[in-house]
Amino acid sequence: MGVDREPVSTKQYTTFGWQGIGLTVPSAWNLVFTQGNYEAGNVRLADEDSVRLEMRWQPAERGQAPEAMVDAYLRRVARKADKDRVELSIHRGLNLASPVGKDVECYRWMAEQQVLAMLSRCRQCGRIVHLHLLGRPEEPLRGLARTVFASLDDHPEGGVLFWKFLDVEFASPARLPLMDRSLQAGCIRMAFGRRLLRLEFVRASLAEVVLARKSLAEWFTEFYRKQLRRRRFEIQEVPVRGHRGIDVTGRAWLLVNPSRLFGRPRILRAACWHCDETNRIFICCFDGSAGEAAMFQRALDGFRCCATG
Amino acid sequence: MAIFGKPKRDVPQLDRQDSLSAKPVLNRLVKLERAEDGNIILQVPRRDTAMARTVARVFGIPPYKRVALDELGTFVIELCDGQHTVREMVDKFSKRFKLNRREAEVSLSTFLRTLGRRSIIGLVIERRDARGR
Repeated sequence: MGVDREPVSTKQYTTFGWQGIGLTVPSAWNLVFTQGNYEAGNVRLADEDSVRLEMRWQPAERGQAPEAMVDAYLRRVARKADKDRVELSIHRGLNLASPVGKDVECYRWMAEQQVLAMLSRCRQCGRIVHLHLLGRPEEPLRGLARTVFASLDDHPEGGVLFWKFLDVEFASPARLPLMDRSLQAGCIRMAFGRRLLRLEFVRASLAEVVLARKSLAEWFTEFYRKQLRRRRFEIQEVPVRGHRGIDVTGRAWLLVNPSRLFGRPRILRAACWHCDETNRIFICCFDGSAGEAAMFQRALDGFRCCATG
Repeated sequence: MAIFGKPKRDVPQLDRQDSLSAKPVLNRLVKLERAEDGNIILQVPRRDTAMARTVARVFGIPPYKRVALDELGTFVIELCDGQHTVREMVDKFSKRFKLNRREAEVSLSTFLRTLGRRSIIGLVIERRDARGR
């Protein structure tokens, strides 16, 4: 027996951003699965009961039309339905959304569940994004599909990638790929960069429990123990984004960073703050050459913690 | 069915709805004690086998284990009264500690699973009739 879902008209919406793709989705949906990188990958969003949206992206092959890709996908779906001996119905050419600057095809297929889908190819960047909205067979999904599909944004604007998921919101430089991520309950860590350059965004929950036993500076020093090794660093208590915080500056030892002698020092800059409103600790940390340190302030300005910060 | 030894019991498989509708309840044999900071210390009885009793007698080990909980664990254990479903516990946990609902559900489920594995709690699940009610 299914659980009655809230009707579309009463839903609240929020933005979801991942690898430069933005969508408007119901605020009850959360990220539950990720795979891949900027070029190709997929993510899933789920509500309390089940997976509701699957999003796949990949670069376009030369001359490949969206219709041909949908043909290939639906052939696979039909083969699986045959194998499982399940009745399948397909409706193509639906008018669900036509985002500006994109070639799209919308379709629906129904077997044990209902899927409304849109395959989009961006005329500007060539990115292919394939969205699947899942629901029960009798569930009215069209209104929700129109809202979600029409909101699709699939490439960086102004040289930054917008990220928003699991109550974390920040913007990373588009030229720095995501090199490491950790999405654990209680601590989210996203690191961007390349060799000898790292820009990291961290959000740790349950701040009041963590800071009951130690100060913010002590916690930060312990959390970044590995990065702070072989560095001389200074911690100053300063307000950060209107909250109680610390500013950290550090420099690698000469032995570790001999290029300092030629005017190319490697520095560490970090800002860490405790947001009372959300009961979380946030860190924005830059580790790289002094010449690129300007990206730290831009990253910090784009890292939102609450409505006011 | 096992040829030798005790026959294996079929462990009922719970789907997601059943898991969220289940009501955790504290094992009656587990005693609660309050620490000075207000957090709960669980006194969990050790296994009552001949070997365990002998070892306890020889080494002077008390018949129960003490498990000290932090503020989070205390909050959860206080809700394990057979009245709150897992879903309600996730909602309260998420509101109290200002966690994203998904984070709260993952952490709470893991903690309840650990408590269940150690027989500190059990789950009360309402049976559905043939019509799924």
